[in-house]
Amino acid sequence: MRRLIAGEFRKLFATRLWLWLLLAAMAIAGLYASLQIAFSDDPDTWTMPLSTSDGQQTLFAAAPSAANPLIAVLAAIGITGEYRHRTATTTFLATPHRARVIGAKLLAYAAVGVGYALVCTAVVTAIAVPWLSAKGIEVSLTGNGLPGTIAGGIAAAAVYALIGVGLGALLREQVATVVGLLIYLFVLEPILTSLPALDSWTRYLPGPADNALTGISLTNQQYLQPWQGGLALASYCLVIAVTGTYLATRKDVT
Amino acid sequence: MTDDEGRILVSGLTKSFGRVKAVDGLTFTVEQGSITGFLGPNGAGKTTTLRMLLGLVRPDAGAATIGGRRYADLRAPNSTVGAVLEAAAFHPGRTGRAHLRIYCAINGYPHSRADEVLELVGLTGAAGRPVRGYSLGMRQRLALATALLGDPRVLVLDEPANGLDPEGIAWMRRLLRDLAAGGRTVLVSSHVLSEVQQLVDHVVIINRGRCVRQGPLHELADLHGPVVSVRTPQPDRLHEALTGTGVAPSRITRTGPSQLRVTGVHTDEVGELAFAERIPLLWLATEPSDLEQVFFTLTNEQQPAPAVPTGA
Repeated sequence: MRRLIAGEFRKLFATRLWLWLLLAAMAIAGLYASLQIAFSDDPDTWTMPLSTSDGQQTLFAAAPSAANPLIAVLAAIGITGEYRHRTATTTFLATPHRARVIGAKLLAYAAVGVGYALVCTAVVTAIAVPWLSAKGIEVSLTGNGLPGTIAGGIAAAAVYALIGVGLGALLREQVATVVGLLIYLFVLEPILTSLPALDSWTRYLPGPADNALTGISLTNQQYLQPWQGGLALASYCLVIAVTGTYLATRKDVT
Repeated sequence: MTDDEGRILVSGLTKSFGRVKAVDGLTFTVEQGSITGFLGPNGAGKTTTLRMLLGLVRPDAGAATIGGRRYADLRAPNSTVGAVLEAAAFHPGRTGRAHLRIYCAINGYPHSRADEVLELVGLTGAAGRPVRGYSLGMRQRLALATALLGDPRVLVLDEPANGLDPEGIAWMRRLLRDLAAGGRTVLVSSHVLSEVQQLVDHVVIINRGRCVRQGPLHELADLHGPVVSVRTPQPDRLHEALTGTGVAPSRITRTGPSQLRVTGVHTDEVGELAFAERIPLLWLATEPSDLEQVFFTLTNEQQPAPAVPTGA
């Protein structure tokens, strides 16, 4: 299994896509953090003041997790590319037990998701700590519940990677998978979660569950407990990854 | 290594795609160390059969084994079987060397193995370039390099000459002959017998998913008897007369405006028939046996029905 994971990393690093998406993720996280800090004094904002621990947790959770869709897209491209470029044939010839191939991809991309989250958190830290310090707010990464927030953000990034791999194994069609992911994350979920009437069940959706896990608090949203959010995300991962793996092992590679 | 480690056994293999029966109870054996041509017209089920042999397509019935094991049960598949299945099965952004090193990593071969096989197929100069800039011939070479990475005992090649220029075909033939000389089992598919005729010692001929002939290549030549070439100002009448005596139309080929080639009959039969039918003959001769014609006859006589969709 170690060799298979090494092979997946070789595939990933053989082209530059990971680098471009990482730079984009850093830019998104940095921009989000900057805007949040710049407008934190706006009386109409939905975030808590950055002097409070709720406010700081939201900053350190929301900014890195803004890059999560990119992680899901990278993972989805990683697996659907095997079908698009027909390298699935060579891959499955080298490893006839296809479940092991999917397993290696899940683990490799989860690790990539963790790496992305660490880099994005570092970007947010590099922006937030000096800026807030200039505003007279001293931020300690070991206090105000931030370790939990950062750990949750890293776990959530891994979850998005797992969902990307699982969905790719399920659909196999690259364009359909990536477009489907983007439509869900940027259109469907925002619409559903914007309706307070649906709040009792939309809080279980991946985005709100992610927010719950990382400890984001907004004045206009109700979230689950962090552990409930984590459980919801883990369930999505499990269902999608298991179904995707099952289909990948059954379907003919022609 | 036992004697039958490189033996390929296909028995009762069956696969349908929707309502199309691509492979239909196919049974054949490829002996260890032989070079076997796997022949049939496009759509005969060659690719589907090879993909079932390699565990990529799940058979509806039957089984295929290599050295007594199903592909999925091989302990080190890449070191046992090397397969070249389709051109352009590469990620276009990866370099040839990066592509090979992925499979070195997965199999635990040293990195240097990638450069060795690149050298073997003559791609060293292009190793650092992305595959998107490779010609079809270079892609075929890279596919072969991938197949050879694990120095396998068995090689399975699906239409390896497709898209190659004559020089590339000659190169591929030489390389395969060298590889086979080292005792490897080679199973190579083609829809054109002449492409592999000088390479193979055995043939398995399939049509519409069934085996129509298997055995040593030289036996194929004895199969349909003599070949007669005849020139006449009335080729249509002669054609009609021949079919009237029971010669299957697939055995008669129009080779010129006034020329026919007939297999399975002797010159005297044609001569006497022409005399009886008052058809003037300008020329009548026995031709050397044409294996392509045997192949054509075998794959057409069996079932003169439309072929199944290609790619199967």
